[in-house]
Amino acid sequence: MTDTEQDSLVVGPEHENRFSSGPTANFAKGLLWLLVVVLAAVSLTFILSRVIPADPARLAAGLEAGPDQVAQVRQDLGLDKPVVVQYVNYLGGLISGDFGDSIRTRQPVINDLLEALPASLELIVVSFTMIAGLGILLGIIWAYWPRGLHSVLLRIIAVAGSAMPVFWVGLLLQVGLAANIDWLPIAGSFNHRKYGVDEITGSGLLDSLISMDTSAIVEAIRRLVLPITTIVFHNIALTMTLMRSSMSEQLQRPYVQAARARGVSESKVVTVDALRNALNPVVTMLGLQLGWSLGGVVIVEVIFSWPGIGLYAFSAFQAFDYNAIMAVTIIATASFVLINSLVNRIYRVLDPRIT
Amino acid sequence: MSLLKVDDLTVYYAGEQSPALKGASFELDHGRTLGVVGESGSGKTTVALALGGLLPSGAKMKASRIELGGHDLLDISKRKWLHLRRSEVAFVFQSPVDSWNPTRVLRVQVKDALQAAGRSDDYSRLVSVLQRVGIDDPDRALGSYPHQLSGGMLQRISIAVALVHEPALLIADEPTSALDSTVQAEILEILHELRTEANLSLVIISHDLSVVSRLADEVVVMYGGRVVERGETEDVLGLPVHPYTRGLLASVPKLEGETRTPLPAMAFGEIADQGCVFATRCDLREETCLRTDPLPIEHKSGFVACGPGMEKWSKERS
Ligand SMILES: Nc1ncnc2c1ncn2[C@@H]1O[C@H](COP(=O)(O)OP(=O)(O)OP(=O)(O)O)[C@@H](O)[C@H]1O
Ligand SMILES: [Mg+2]
Repeated sequence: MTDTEQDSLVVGPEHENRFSSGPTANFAKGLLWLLVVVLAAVSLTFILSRVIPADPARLAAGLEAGPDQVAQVRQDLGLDKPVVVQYVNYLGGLISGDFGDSIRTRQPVINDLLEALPASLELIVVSFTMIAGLGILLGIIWAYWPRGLHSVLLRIIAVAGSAMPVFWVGLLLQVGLAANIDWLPIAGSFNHRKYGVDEITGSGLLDSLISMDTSAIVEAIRRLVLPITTIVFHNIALTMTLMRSSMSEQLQRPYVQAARARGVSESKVVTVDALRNALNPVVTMLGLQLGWSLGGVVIVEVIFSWPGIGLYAFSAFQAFDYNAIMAVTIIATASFVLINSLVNRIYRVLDPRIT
Repeated sequence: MSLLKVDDLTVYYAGEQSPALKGASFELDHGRTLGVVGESGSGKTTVALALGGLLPSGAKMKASRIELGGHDLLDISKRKWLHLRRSEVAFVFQSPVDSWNPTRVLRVQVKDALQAAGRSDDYSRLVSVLQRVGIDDPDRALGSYPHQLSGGMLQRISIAVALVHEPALLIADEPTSALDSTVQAEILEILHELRTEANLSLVIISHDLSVVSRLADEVVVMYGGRVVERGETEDVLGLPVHPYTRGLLASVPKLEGETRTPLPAMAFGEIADQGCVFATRCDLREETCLRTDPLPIEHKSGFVACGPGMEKWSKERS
């Protein structure tokens, strides 16, 4: 990745930093930026939800409802008011964390989301850790020993992983592995009640770890294997190949040779000197990946019936559950912007020349 | 006894058909300075890297003998190389800015190097060496990132770090080429003084003849990966024999207003597989030059790899 490309990838307030400085000013700017982006996302999804030729009142009232009932529902939901009023009301609700009610589950959307979030976070955290850790490690190995059997293998993984769509990988694993190996479940997530594990965090893995019940822990891991493999297989290619090219570029830099000439050991030259510089583009890329991950898990959650935000969003789309759709969109956007501004901070720690 | 002895050194870079260095031979006694001159691409850096075991991976190195301070460099483990670089042979490279990791404070990089050698009093000694090479405030300099210091400062730090373990040999590959002329002069002065102070043997690589003539006791002239002429500095640069050396000297701009004769430029891929590497550019070229490799002819303290040049030289002398 070239420097200019990196610059254009930078999302957030970093560009304004030349004009004023100070951590507080930066923080305030970051917050302001977050608000602007989220507001834009809210407005856009709001407009979209109102121009799409589907009638939420009609859907909410149900197929059997007559015109009077639909009109009643429309009034209850506030959909009979002018669009501008609806918009202002919606924004007003957002400030107090109220995303409206779901017409599908008939509960506040925020409750649905909080219920679904732990399952998604579990997938995201576990897969992202593996993508980052494994991808960086394999990339370093690949760059340092570019020839040999392992490099052929890594190349195949990289090409196959990035070329195959996620749903395809997921289905292949289900058909090829889960169907033949009894131990691997085809779909579904950890069932707290069945294993008598308290729902403390809502994440099967964490709760079973807290319960310290071995069979529950094994079950939680068993459930994770296929969805995680699917995500990691598809996403690790980018990290691995970027790490490799970035690392081999750094290894050819004169400062690496100079450090070797000063008698610094090979392991230190590679893992301290070169790695530090090679990580820059990888961190940026991983940040973007993490930012997208909330949207990225939708397909995986649907394939593996994983009850997270993605599956929730999918069901919401099918039912044209407009409040739920808007809520998911807003949260996905906000997390993207937030994660990116965090990454930019890490980036600056890695490279002191960026002020 | 000689400190460094190189016989018939040949280097191929990974995937290259023609050698970057072919059959180079030279030696260096304790406390003496060897200048290596030649135009860009003639293989000067390759010589330096080969002597430090620093050639990039995939490069192939052959020689009938390379000895440094009694160590046989042809048959040496990776650990031994590390040990040598920490105690026997040190380097200073062309670009001071590129010699340091841009994202780490100099102090930690310097400490990495000192720790590698694992001697306890090194840091305080480094501080005094730094002062010796003209860094007035070592603490502040080492507390900086490379981009915060000038090229001259960084090169001084490079020299200090190279010398802190009192190596027997310092290899300086174009140590002043990236610096402006006043700083160049200062750095050369430092090297000049340290040579005697530290009883240092020095290999100074440069395409700048004035640098070499200033510091070197002996000179090796390289062209197209071969050593074409070798000898005491005053012999080689004073009364050059090889047509390439002559051309090189004639092309140096002179202050007194003499016109300089430009050396005809070398076209890419012009170096022939067989025969004399310089033949295509040479005004003394004979039929045989294109077919057979010139044999080194002993001359004064060294040798010249050019028959016709030797003849012309003898004629001019008589
Ligand atoms: N890593 C490499 N891979 C392949 N070829 C190389 C490599 N490094 C140098 N060469 C080639 O080897 C030859 C000698 O290069 P070398 O760097 O030793 O020349 P030099 O005399 O130091 O030149 P300069 O004055 O430009 O530094 C050149 O033809 C160069 O293109
Ligand atoms: Mg060079």
